[in-house]
Amino acid sequence: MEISYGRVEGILRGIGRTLRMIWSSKAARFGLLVLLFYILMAAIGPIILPLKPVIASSTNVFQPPRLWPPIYWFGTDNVGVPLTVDIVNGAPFVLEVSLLSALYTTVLGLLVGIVAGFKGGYADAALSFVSQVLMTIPSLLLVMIMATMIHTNNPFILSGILSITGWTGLALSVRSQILAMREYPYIEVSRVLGLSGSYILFKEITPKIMPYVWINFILNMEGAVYAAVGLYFLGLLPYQNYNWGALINQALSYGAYFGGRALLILVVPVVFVTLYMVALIELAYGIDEIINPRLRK
Amino acid sequence: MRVDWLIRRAGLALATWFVALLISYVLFEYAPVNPINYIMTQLGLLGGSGTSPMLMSKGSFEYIEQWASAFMIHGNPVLGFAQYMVNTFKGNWGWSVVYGLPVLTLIARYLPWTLFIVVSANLISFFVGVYLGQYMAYHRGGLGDQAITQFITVKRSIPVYIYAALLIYFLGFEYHIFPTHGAYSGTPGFNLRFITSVLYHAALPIFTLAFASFGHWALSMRGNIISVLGEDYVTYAEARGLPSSWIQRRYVGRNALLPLYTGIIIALGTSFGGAVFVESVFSYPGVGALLSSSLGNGDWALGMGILLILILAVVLGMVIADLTYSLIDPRVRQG
Repeated sequence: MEISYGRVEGILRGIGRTLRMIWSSKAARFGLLVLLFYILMAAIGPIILPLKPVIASSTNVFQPPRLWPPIYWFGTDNVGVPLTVDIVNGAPFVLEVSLLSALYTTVLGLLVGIVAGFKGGYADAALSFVSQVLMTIPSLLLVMIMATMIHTNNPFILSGILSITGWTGLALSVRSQILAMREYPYIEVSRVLGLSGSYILFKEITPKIMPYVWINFILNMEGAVYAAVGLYFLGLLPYQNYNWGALINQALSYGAYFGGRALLILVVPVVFVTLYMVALIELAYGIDEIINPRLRK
Repeated sequence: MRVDWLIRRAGLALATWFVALLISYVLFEYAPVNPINYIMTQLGLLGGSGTSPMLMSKGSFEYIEQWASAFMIHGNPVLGFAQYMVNTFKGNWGWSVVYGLPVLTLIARYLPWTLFIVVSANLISFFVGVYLGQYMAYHRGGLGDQAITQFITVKRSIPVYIYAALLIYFLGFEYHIFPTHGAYSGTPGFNLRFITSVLYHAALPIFTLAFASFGHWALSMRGNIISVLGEDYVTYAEARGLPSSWIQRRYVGRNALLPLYTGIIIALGTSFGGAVFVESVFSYPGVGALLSSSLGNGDWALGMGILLILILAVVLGMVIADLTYSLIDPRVRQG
């Protein structure tokens, strides 16, 4: 397929417009900048600061922060690796899992919601019922058991487990939005004009629900981080010392024995996890503010 | 009472339970870490080195058979699943390999503590959230409202295990203000000392769970009140000159509360998930901590049993909520 120059320009202009809109909200701007920082850290960080095997000795574990070299700003962990190196190498996992899970849940939820809302009848009844059943099951508990049984560090598989019930909320709300939208006059006009079902679906209905889908995407990213870091925190996945959740867990067990010496191993990963999740929530909140006129000040 | 609606809700509850059993059966039969093989390996029957001393002391073949009787069903998967359902119904939920006890016995011992902290935390967070939401709605746009909204936005994005970790680190390990493990000290008995020690031990877990969840109630209550305030009957009540506190309680509050009622059950399910983290961090003897340790030890029967019992709790809660909804909402009674 040939892509014309004008089309590329149109897409670029669209992206530019979206970015300008995001920029106009303080919350979304904050979220986007922090997110960019994390993406940079995960992309470049492990190349600059690779994990090197260290010889653990009593002299280099639990070192307090040092001003120089900069990788010692957060001190060292319980095996003597600078905490900065741990954090940087733990970042790709968090980002991969959150992005992949959000992708899975969004695609599946959108698909199920569109089919249920657009087809109606038995398909709708069956899909809605399945969504409601899965919604009632406490997802975190199910995810814990499945992740432990399948026991993998592979972000693709792990994200699949994490999104096992996460798509239901989106599916149900997309369905109800489509059901409501089908009665709108302009959709009726399109139908009378004889436009095809797929045209109405992709050109008339989908653009209206996309902002909502994006918010859901970001919230699912947040939910996936909650579950994935939590699984490492409980020590239920194959152990990685540099994983943020595992670091927090380590800090607690060392804090119980050594008191204040493990403080940095607790606080630094906590700050990094928290900042990431706050950024995601602020971004979602900001987009909501932009598309929902009632929230505008 | 709307009978068809109740039947549909009951059907949903039954289907949820059925799906839960199905998932657990499929995991037992087809998961890459087959629980039966795992336990055989542990026993040294399939080769492999790690052998649980607990099992060796009990190491008779009868014991494995007893353990596996609930699950070891070969052949036709449909018949196998039917057998599994019958076993579950009859109370044969398998044996814990780590404790050497029936799963249901262990659950009966640990579940009350979890219900205690989860239910109290949800009650506290519900009431705090509702009152906070009321305050925010009547002072909307003000400094307090904005500050609380921003606070809740940031607070809800922080996972519950981070609160738990920070609280136990500082209040437990550093300053020794609260106990760091267990549910009580001394001998159990119905006296003041025991009860205060139970409350003292449960204080941090309950606070953590409640703190992690009250924001949701506050924001929904705020939204509901604002939309109820626009209703005609509120304007009419104001025009009749009713005292505003009366309107706030009997007209606005009650109607704004109704949609929250069914959300309690979903919140309960989320809290059970949170309880796993909170109980593990505070070493609280509830099923949450038991679930985490059983999964860590490959004690699959116990882990699955806990998952099933918590799903059952949520499903039963849903049915109770549906049945009692007509008590607080007169509109459903005639329907």
